[in-house]
Amino acid sequence: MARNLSDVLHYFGPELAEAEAQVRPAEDAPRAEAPACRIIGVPIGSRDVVRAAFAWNIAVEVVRLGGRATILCPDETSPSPLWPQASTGPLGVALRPSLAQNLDELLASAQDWAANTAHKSESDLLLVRIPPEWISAAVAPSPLLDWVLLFTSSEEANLQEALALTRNVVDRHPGARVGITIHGAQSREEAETAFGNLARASREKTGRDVRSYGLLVDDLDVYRAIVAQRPIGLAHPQSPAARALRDVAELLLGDIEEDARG
Amino acid sequence: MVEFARIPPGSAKAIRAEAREQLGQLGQGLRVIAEDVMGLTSSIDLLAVDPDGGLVAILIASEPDQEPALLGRGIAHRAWADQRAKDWCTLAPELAIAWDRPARCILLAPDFGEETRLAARTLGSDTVLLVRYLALRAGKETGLLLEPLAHLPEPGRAAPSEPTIKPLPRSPTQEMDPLPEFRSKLADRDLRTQRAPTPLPAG
Repeated sequence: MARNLSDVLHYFGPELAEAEAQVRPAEDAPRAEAPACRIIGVPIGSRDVVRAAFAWNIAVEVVRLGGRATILCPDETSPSPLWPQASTGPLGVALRPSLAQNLDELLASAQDWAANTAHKSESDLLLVRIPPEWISAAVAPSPLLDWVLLFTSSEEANLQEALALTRNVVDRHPGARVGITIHGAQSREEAETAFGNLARASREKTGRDVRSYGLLVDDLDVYRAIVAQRPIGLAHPQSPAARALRDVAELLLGDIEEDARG
Repeated sequence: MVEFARIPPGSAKAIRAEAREQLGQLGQGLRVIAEDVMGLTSSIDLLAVDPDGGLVAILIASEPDQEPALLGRGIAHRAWADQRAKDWCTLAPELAIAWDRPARCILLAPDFGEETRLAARTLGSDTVLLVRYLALRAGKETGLLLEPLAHLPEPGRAAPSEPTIKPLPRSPTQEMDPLPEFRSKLADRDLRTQRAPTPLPAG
């Protein structure tokens, strides 16, 4: 059964399939080996270009910091409005489309990717876009929810939405690590207060603690980067937005290293 | 400082609803698939599936005098569920029931007598798990504290008259622990930006 767009790419264009084959090991490669990479699920709605841009730019920053990152994106339409054209993009950050229709199929796509990736290591990062409604529909714990990263602004409505999503995740996957990145704050204090409020509410309502993954800046560079489909870290490396993205990427890589050390 | 107080557990229906809400305290990843299901001759309070697909019959004694009969009912319901697991698997494959795994039961009661403890220990935790519950008020919040018997002293040893009070997962009691810290190396001077003129639609 085809799980990835790349599985059926040859129907649409032999030249695309050839290009795909260059970055993908042979289909006959053994898949039984356990994935060594870290998977982070990122709930992003089908029209949520801002959060998609954050995820993509964080992946680029992970690579700039010496890691490797791939984004797995189940999208209903092609080309997706969320991402730049699917390919191996800037600095080797790859966007992998998937035909998955639910969380189980998305997990299978992620496992396929992990099994087919050469030279994998524990610092390899696979960011998986998860449509939020798939989390609500899940009936069993999923490894895709082991580690989830939520982007929320400091506005009350957004924090409530993040809290509801946190509850959805931990109800279905009690061992989940839920990370929170605050975006759009005008000051560090505003972001810190927003995170504190969400952390307190999560503990009270779900019995679980969330983990901070910094703050992001909603400045013009973010929106320019979305329109231009260019990573902020490359187009405006000294901008506040790029510094903030790098800080979040460092926090993620730091935790991956800490997890690896046990 | 949040004050703890033991409170009456409420009606059988209220205990069942609260127990369902608090099953996560057991850390077994149980997914409730049915409530108040008619078994052989009596009702199963909650029917759940564990992460491996195993069926779990959860029975609750809402009064202390119901406890002595609970183990017998639990074993009977376990056998009853085993006989039907394959049919449920066929009728509702989305429930992901592993029909070939033996069902087990979890018994909830305010406390358990020595005979029930010894019998349950003999049967093993793969068959039956005893869980004490205690209704508590912590500040303005109320909740049901669930304590698996495996965590309590062995029968015959000196046991506390009350279960050890742990923080309720859904109460403000955990305020006693510091909240997770906000992590960022950025200061306000790092955030001076040109603001976006209009936000893009999200969601």
